[in-house]
Amino acid sequence: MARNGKNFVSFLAVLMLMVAVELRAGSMTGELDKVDGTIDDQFVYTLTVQGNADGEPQFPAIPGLDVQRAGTSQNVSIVNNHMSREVQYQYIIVAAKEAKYVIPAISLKIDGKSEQTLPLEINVKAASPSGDHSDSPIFLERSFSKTKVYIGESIIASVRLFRRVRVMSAEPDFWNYPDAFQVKKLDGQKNYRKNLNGQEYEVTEINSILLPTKQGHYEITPALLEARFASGQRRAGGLLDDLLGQSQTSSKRIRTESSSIEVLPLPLNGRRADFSGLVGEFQGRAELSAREIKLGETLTLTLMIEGKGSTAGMAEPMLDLGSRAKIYRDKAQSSDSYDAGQGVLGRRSYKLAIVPSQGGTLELGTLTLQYFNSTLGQYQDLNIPLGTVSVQGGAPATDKAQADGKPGQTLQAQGTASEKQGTSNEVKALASDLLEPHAADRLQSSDSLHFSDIIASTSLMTLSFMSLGFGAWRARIRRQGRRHDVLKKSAKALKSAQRQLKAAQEFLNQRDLQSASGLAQKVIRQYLGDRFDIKGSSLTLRDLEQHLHQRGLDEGTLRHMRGVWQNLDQLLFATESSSLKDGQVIIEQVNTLLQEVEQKCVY
Amino acid sequence: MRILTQVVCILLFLLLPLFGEARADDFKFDKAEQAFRVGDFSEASRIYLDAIQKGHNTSSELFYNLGAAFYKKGELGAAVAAFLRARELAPSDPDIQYNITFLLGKIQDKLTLEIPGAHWKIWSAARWFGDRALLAWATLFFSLGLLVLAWYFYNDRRPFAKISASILFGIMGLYGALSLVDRLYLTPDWGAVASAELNVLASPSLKNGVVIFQVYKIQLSDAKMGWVPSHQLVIFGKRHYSYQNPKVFEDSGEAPL
Repeated sequence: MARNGKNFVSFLAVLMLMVAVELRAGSMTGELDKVDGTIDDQFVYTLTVQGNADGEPQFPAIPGLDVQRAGTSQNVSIVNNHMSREVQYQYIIVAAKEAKYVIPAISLKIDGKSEQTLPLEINVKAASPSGDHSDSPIFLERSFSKTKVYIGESIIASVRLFRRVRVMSAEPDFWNYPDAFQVKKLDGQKNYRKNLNGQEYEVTEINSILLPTKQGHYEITPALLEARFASGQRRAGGLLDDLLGQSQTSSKRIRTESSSIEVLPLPLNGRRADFSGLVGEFQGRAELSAREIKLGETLTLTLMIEGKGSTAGMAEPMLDLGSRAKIYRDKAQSSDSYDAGQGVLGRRSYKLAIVPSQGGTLELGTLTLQYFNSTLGQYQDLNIPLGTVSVQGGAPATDKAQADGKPGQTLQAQGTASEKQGTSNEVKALASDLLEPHAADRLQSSDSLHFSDIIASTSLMTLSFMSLGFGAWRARIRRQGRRHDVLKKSAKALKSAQRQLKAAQEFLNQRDLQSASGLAQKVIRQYLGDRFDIKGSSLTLRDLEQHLHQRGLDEGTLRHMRGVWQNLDQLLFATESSSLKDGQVIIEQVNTLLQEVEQKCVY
Repeated sequence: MRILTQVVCILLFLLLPLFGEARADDFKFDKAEQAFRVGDFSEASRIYLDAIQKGHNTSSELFYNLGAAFYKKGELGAAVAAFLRARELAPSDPDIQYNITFLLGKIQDKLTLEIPGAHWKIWSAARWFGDRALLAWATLFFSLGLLVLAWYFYNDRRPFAKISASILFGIMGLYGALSLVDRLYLTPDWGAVASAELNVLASPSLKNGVVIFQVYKIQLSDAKMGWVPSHQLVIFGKRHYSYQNPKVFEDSGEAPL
């Protein structure tokens, strides 16, 4: 009975454990911030994963929907020693066209088990019709100064952003025009306020100049703006959100309506071969830097053409003075600007340096430019009187080739940018052209760092450090070898000395005190010589002391050596007054001295 | 000894790239050259820009030719920016310097190409050498210094000469390394203005307005600083790239800079 009871309790415990494990299994949910919207709206899909996922979820590709991953957030909580992890993946979804879309179930393995979200539906409607912006806190408008123009006639495109909310960030795409249009963005933007349907908006206006270059009917795609703005609603958050006054932000893709522009060809009837390319209404004037000059001097003629319309497409005006003067041209300078009342205002100026070849009165004549008046729809002539110059001096041209210039020929300046002798400042800027571009095979090289350069540099430095390490190791081995050599040498010297002391003892045993003393002294000299590399068998005591002092032997040992040496001298030179016992003592003293030197000078 | 010899040979083999020319992939540069010859400068510049955007942006020759194409198209600002980048990659190339001088002669605003306050930079080797040359310089001299020091450890004869030589090589290597660091990290990107008029903002945001274009903070050589919309600038730099081909008007001439 007790045993059955124990089994039952065990079974219950296992069951509870399984349930507990089941309760702690992962889950996954997907939700949308809204299910209905227009093609201008962005939908936010939030995928919440609880538990330990096997990898990252893959959002399925859905035709007609553009899905961008917006971010990931993670939340880990520990309650009663149990850790749970929640990861949120956010996706921004934008629809390309109005339709009903289904976001299918997303699968993921969590805690070893396959989990799935439920499929969700999005209902996308068309954008609000134009003019109906009463509900919109933010919208975009575009207008063109003209929608029916001639080739070369400039158009002002204005894009206006209306808003009643605070815009955090904006990514514009305003300049997507067909290739037939050249686009010039006008600098700066205008900001003002406007009242619409009883609501005040802040307006930002950006203008561009379009210059059509080909005839045809063109559909202009809408201008787009991806904007993130404060929606004005308080976020339903906690206390901190209320205190800090956090409001919700929204992201929206705002667009204008599509437009179309008709570009008409310039009529052939009435167009001359020297048509300047200008389309609009223009005036021109000419200025001379001087009315009287001397022969050989230079005067500058400045031509200015300005008016309504762009001057960008204008052809170079031809001025022909024949053999009467040489003409040097500078590059034209042009600028286009926008005036709210008059539209596009173009201005173009040419500077020509004229060097008369003959004295007298130089009539520059009248420059005639044909342009197309788009208002009247016909070609007109712009006549610019250039004036007259009085040229003093009768010296003919020194260069025959220069004097016999061909009629109608305008010469290009030859020379460097530096001022030539006799030429004025207006000519010096007319240098030769840029140097020729380089051949294609030279473009294959690279001048900045590559990965291979880093590798090579690192390899070389590694090799150098390795060499340094090897050198240091060799130095260490050498030091150790020297030490070993010294120890070996000293051991050898000591052995030899001890052998010789034994021989001296033998002399003593044979009662040859003098030989024994002489040998003992020799032992000292030889041992010290071998031990400390002191050469010279005829070294005196003084020499020995000096050498040993240089090698660091202390004063005590030197004194001891001196004492032993002097005793040996006495034995050697006063043998009659010495006994064999003295000889024995001195041999022991020598042995003691050698042991002392050996101990004190280990290395 | 034999193993050591083999190791040294392998390491020397690894050094070869430092002395060779890094080759870019074969691109359509001959087509660009042909387009340039026939006067189709737009096509030439398009090919060069394509190469740059695809990562072949490390050749001074490429930027040199791009600058020439821009100039022929009439985009003077873009031409200056391209030549400035070419000069940065090959500072001592006389052709590049000539073209820059030529173009600067056409600029109305007489600004210099020096950074205000950076007088010490006249001593930097980065004025004369490109990135690869500086790296080679620094590496070679550092290595020589280390090798001479290693030689001293190996054979401690003439210590004064060897240590002195090692220190000298080390200093020269340090000079090259500092110049390279200056070039890579301290030198800003140069660019040029691409519009006739430039509106410089004091800050990247407008009062009561929203700035809806990307802005760059720029500094002129007279130390004036400000924020400028990116579409008004042309920058071909190490860290920044800004060029917009707004289908510029044909033969617009140079806008006064």
